[in-house]
Amino acid sequence: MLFSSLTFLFFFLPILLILYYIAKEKYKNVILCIASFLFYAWGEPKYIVLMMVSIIVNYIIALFIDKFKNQRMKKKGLLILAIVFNIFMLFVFKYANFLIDIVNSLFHLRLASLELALPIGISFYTFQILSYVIDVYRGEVGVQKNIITLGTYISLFPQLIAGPIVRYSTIEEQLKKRDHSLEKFTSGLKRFVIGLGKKVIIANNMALIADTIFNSAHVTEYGFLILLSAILSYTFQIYFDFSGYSDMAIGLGKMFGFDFLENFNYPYISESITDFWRRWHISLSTWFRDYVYIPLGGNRCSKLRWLFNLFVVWFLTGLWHGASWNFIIWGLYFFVLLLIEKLFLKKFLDRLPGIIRWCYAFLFINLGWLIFRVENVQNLFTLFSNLFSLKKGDLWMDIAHNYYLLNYVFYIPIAFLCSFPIVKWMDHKMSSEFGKKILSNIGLLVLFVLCILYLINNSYNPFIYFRF
Amino acid sequence: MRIVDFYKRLKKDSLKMMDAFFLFSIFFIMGIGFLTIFLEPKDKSSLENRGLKKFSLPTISTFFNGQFQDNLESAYADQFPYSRKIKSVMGNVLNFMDYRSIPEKICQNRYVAINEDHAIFNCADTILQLPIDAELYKDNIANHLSYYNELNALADTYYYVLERSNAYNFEEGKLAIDVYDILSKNLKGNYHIAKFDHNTFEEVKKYFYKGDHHWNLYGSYLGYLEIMKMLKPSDTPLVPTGIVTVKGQPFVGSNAKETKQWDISEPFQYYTFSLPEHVVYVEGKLQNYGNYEIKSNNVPYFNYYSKVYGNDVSEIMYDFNQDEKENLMILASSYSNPINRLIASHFNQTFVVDMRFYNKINFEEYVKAHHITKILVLASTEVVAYEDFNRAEVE
Repeated sequence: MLFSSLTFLFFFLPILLILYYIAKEKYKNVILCIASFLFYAWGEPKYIVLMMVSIIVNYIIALFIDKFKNQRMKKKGLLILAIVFNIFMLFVFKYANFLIDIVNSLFHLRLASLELALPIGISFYTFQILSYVIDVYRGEVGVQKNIITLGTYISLFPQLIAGPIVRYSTIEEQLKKRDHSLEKFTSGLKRFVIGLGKKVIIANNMALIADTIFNSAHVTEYGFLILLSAILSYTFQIYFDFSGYSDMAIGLGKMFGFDFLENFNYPYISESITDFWRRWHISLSTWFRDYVYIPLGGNRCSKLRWLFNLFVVWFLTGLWHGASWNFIIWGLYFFVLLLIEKLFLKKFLDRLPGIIRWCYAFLFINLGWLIFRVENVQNLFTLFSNLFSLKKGDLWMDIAHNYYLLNYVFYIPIAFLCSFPIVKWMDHKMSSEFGKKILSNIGLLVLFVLCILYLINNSYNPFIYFRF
Repeated sequence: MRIVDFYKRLKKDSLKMMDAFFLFSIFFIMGIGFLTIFLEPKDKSSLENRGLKKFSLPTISTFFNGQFQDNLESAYADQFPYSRKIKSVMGNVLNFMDYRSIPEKICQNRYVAINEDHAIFNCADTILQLPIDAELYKDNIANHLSYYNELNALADTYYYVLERSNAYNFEEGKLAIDVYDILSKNLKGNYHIAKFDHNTFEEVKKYFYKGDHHWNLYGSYLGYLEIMKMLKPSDTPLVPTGIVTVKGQPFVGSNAKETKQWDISEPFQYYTFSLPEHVVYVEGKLQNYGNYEIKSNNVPYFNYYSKVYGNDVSEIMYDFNQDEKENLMILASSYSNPINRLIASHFNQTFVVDMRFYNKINFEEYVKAHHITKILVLASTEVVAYEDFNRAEVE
């Protein structure tokens, strides 16, 4: 089930809100847990069992880690068991076929692929579970003895499918007792509506341009202008899709009394790649920092070791996003850029005007998204070549054959503007609380209605056979 | 209370009230959506030419295979109050790029795509389907050829090839899929073959609807004449007794609906004929097929092609009670709907079979049971290439 679906807006959420708020405090987690399982089973009826098994196994391991907290070897063994179990599950469903392809091409074999669909959200909830077990091991959080409460944390539907990756420590206390106030609820609902707008109105329409061009059999024949449109569209698609989802998750969390940490902080205003990664998918980068980079030694080691640590983190960051070479290349692309910035470029950039720094960052971010989007590595090289050679192509032919996409091109400047903190700026400029409230409430209401209209419109599906 | 305090209290209360109003409005909209389940369900949409999804209870199997979930989402969209109006308004608003006003430099001798599957060509306001890639249909074609060759052995078989606009690449000036050539090279046994050889763009504009994939009254009548020349060259073809132009709402065809170009429309016209007495059985039931009494209509997006010429069904039988004449089987899609009765008037009994809905047919048994001596395959592009016309395994 998607948040941006009529089923969620008209069926799941209203019923859940009613049940949640009429239930007594002690039953609220049970209701959320059941609702979250139903939410997951709605899209993945078979794989709900996988998630439940994951919860049970990690629940038991964490209990034993806590039991043996003073027996270092046993504790460590259990942690390794948890890590191996979780990574193995992730590996089987997400990476096994990738490895099989590599082995087949290296050794000219014909090993059969596994016929397994990728369970939705497995990357997110696996990392969430791992963070819980590791934090129990480190003694940073208390073990959760109530399996329903742990199940609620792991399966919590607002962030189950697409993050943010919520650390157990963030909501440990909130799972026991949380604040339900009308102000918090309203603030959450408003945040949800903003996220819905980002997803339905901007991201979905940017996707139409990006997907049409990148999925075309003639993608390598397009000229510079068409390619640029596709890259920009994808840049905004991925941001508004992902941050929209995070907004909805954070908003929904608030509606049920939870406070999640922010996951995006206007990444496209970044003036360096270092800055970008402090603003983009914050929950993932901090996860890798705390559970991979720092345990490996971070930067408190020799320079060579530090290089290795950075390499591992960015290799894994790329790999986490997808089982394909382009994702690994994407991760390592940022490894190289970040290294260059750390070594000398940052000092040089700091002397330049902000607009130049922004242009530099925005250019390399966009190039990164091109790598991320194009899974065919051969095509990727051709597209880079077309881009840098400013390939002319047949512009009129390209426009004619994609003419209808011009209906969506106007979303690009809107997306560009919305990727800046305009609302915050307007908030500063306006002094009247009353005026701000009217504007924001009416604006959000209109946005919500527009989203419903877009969702209904998107279901337009004419049938060409005349059966009646 | 001091005035300043009163003002602050009033301001705080009004801020709270605005939030309350916001919450109420959102819940009100959600409530309308939720209560859609309990409204009297709408059956059909003439805008989308389909039956509308309705709410249904889940079963274990429909939940596990995702059918219940898909149906629920579609039902919400289809049954939401004023959903048809919403779709037509949003379609007009969001498809604001008027391809008809683009410079000739761009559209001359070029396809201008108006969605992923449709385009206009050479600046004309006729919607075409984009040329298909023949390679993608190889397996389906092989499936169809296998039963065509079976038919060739059962009766005197005639193939009339109708290459639709998506079979032709007007930009490159060649066929994207040469159905006539495919059939000529792969059919075995005794058969006759001819084609609707009117594939220049000017002819497409003349013989096909502006906004629909079907041939119009001129195209279908020309097809009838050419088919009869092949089937029964000695017979005198029927001549129209008149033309009816339906007053009221214009014909917004399939291509116009798929591309949301609802203004690409035209008045619907059909020929009238004086036919010998006959009865029609639709899927075994004696009933009328088509409606040649429609003279005016005020229902927008009315499906004239099916309402006048008849719906797509698995089998129609025309009985002209002319025992001295042969029995004919027509294997076709909706392209034959305008001319079924015209062709059938030259035969005793005519059985029109649509493989989309009758794909488990045993041809040998069928031909024997109905004493069929002639078979006509109206080989339009989709009949030959699309998966819908594949024959299922007969048990």
